Amino acid sequence: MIDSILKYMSSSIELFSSFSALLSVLGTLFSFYFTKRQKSKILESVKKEKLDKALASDNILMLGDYLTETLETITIAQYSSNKNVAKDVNQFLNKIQNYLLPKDDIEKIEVSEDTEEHFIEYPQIPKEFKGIIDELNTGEPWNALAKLRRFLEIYFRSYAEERNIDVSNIKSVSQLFHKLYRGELINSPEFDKLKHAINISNRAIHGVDITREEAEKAIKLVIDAFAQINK
Amino acid sequence: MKDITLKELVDLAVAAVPEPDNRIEKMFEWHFERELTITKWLLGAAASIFVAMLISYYKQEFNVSTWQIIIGIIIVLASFSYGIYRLLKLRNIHKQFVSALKLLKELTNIAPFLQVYRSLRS
Repeated sequence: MIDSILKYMSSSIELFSSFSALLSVLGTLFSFYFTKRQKSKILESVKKEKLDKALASDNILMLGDYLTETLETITIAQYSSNKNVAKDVNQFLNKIQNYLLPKDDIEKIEVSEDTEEHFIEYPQIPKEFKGIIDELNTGEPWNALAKLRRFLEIYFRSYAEERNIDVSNIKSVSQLFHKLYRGELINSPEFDKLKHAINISNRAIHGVDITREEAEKAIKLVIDAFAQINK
Repeated sequence: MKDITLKELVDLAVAAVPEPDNRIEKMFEWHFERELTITKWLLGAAASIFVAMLISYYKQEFNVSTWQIIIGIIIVLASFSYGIYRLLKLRNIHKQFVSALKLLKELTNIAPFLQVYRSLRS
């Protein structure tokens, strides 16, 4: 009788210990899986944050660093099978392509060397241009001119929409200016200045070497045009 | 096995090599050949071990212990499943090829940006 009880108890203990061992293995596997998942979620949000920061910067070094440090490590297999990866890559490429399109806007421009005064003639620079000028003073002309072009596009799109002009099909800033000029929303002198400024910006963005003077000239032309338009 | 990365496409776009589409096609052909060869090796190894085990079993020449049989079966199953996994992965290669062409076109569009960035960083 005692023997059978002991036998029963020992087999129960064996069963219990096996069950506990199984539970412990399963627990470890689940905790490993959830920790890994959580880590990958955190990593994803960090990467997303980095992408948003780079896209909002208009800074060639930040954009380029994001490309080399993050996007260049992505495999084509990951791009074609993972929707989130494809979305991030496409968003980045679209942003850069928007800077560069269309190529037809580039014209050869003669820039006079009369811009030594470095904005002295603008004692009150409109606040919209302060960031752009700061970028020119501290960084690369590319960054300042990319910012300038982006600002012009946003500003004149909303300028046209406020005046019930449909600009949804217009892709380039130059086309936008042409449409506003044809609609007599901007006059010939302002149109010429804006067009000239956008041509300098496009040349810089397309990799043509731009001097600081040329970049300054582009910004000044836009400031002048703005002063006339908002008179 | 190293997969083709975006960096290789960026380098192709910046270098402005003639007929980049053909180069991509070549890269994928090599990639496909490598994958196919490895898949063949894996499936071949699984089949050979399995057939060898089967023949020796039917010829009653099986002088191995149970755990050795289990290890043999595990090797066969592992090699077979990994081979099938690689084979299934190969089905996506056409999709990857199209994606690579699309990406290359977009990267070629932004080549001026890439050149300016690289000159600033170098």
